[in-house]
Amino acid sequence: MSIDSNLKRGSAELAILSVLHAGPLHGYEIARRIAQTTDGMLTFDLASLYPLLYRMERDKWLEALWEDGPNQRRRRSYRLTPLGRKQLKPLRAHWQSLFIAIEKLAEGSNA
Amino acid sequence: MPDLTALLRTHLSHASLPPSVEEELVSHLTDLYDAEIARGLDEERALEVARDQLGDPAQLLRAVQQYKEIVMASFRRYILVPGLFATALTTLAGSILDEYRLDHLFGAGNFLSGGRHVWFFGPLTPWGNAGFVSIDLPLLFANLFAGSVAAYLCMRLGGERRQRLWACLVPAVAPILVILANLAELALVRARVQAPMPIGHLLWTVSGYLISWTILPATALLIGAAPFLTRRTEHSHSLSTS
Repeated sequence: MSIDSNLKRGSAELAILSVLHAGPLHGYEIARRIAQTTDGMLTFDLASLYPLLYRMERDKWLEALWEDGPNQRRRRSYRLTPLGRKQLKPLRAHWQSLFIAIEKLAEGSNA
Repeated sequence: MPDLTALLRTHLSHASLPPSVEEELVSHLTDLYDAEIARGLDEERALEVARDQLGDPAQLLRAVQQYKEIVMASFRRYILVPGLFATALTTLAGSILDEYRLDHLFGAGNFLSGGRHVWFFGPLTPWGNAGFVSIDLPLLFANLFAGSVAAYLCMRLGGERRQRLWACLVPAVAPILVILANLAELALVRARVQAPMPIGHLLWTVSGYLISWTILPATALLIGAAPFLTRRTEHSHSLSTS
């Protein structure tokens, strides 16, 4: 796996864990919240969102439950498991230190 | 509302999707489409946005593989484990009844004969009475218990109602296997030493087996499980859609 795809996957995982930290959401709402919160910097189409959701569910970071939504339509809602909750803190710390390092690099190149 | 299921299927070149994956993806597309319409787009443009949001078909199909792994894991966790545990517990209970001669609670004789009532029906042929219904009280009581245990365990593990239903029916699988073995014995062994059994007699026999060893035990399992089939999953939660 390249650095680029690792970065993408890591940031996407953090984004999903972060929005689900506030409470359970279904797929569409997860994508919408992430796009809204990041002012459109991070967006997911179905092909990028669902492989990730299913993988995180398989790894027990998330659990999913079918719920009856409005208009007699069922929705599968996702929520963090205790294991997923545990992943959030180190992931955030990792990304924050990465951003600080990149900022330092950018400052160095501007100097 | 356009046919978003057809849109998804065409995008994936009609590759086979598990129905629940398809339902989830179509639900996502419907939410997206509705949101675009609410934003003021016309139907054609909203459909275009939905189509754009599907993304790379190969990547989407990879998600299906991951979903299948989840389904298998769920099957083991929520259906097989509680169901087999309940089956083992019921077998143990049956052995204890037999060992300690507690079967007098159900009638005379040992565990297998005590409390068992058999009614014959159907035509009498050289192979005996074609049909029968056997009501085995110890087995039915044990199944009430097994159904409760399986559904309760499944619920405690976080299984949904449908999974609890399947878990409680797992102990009914063993009698089905016995029926199949019995039928195989009828077809392969007895047919060699006796004249072939007429199809009518066979049908009566099969229906007797099904009623006695599958339908009645499954009903007892369902009755036992009933208190846990109506409850909501413990980690159930309401959806946030704001």
